[in-house]
Amino acid sequence: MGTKTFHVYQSDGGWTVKKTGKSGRTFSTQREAVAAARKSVKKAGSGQILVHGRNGNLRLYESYRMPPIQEPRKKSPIAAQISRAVNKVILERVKSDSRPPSAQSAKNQGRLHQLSI
Amino acid sequence: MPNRLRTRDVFINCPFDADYRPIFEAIVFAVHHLGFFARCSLEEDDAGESRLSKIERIIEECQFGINDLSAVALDAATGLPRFNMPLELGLFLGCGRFGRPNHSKKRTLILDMDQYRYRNFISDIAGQDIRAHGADSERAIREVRDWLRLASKRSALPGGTKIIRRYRMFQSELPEVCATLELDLDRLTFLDLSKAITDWLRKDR
Repeated sequence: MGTKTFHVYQSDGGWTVKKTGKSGRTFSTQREAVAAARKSVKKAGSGQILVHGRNGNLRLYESYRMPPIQEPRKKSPIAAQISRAVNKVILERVKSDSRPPSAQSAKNQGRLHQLSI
Repeated sequence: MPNRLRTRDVFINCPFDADYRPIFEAIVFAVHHLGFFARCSLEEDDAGESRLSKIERIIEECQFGINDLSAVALDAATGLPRFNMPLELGLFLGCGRFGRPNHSKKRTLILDMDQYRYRNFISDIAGQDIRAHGADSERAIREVRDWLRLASKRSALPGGTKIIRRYRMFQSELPEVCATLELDLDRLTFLDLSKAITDWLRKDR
């Protein structure tokens, strides 16, 4: 089962909506990007949207039919900093990953490799 | 004072030294991934309360207990065994037996390195849920998941394979989280670790 989290973040060309391991779609405004993410979540039947601000904080978190993850009973004194650090690490991974090759392109790559030997 | 037995709270009674840290972290991760609250004596830093009082209060509140007896072997430096874990296991079992009526709902998992080693040092616990993790954190995750599913009677819980896959990913990213915070990975407190786990689980699924 694939990831159910849509990350929305500012990019060079506007606002990008992206899931881990998938290619992103870029919109000219944040509003359009969030609307597209909402549409995808509804279509999938469940999921969540994280809108990342430039300072590392989340601007928006929306969850649709997702099981809850409990906050710890006792709060860490540096909870806000940890939250920002986790956002940063996850977002960097999401931004840097590339779409896995489709079955067809993998097949082609294999053929090219064989030819080059 | 009335006590509320929390049906999603899991008391973790295990060694907190560096050698055991990977298994401790794996258990905390599994408990949060399953939608429960991981709790242990490290969550409190109230200097005015004795350590035993803190432990008693947490035990009283938790419906579930995971007790690891791995560290009963003789300590290399002192030549003596460590009795804290068996003591806290005894408190948990005693609370379930002699506590308030709702405390009879308490459920306990006992973990050890080997399945039957307990017979040599604490044979009276025969009949309890005793499982071995063989000092393997991923095996500990599977044991915790399977036991918690049965003990809590919650059927819609993620499987062990999924939890392990996500745990590996979390482990690979935790050093970067700590680096961002300028925190030493080995010095991460229980509260910090729990927060990092729950945040990471919520934002990456």
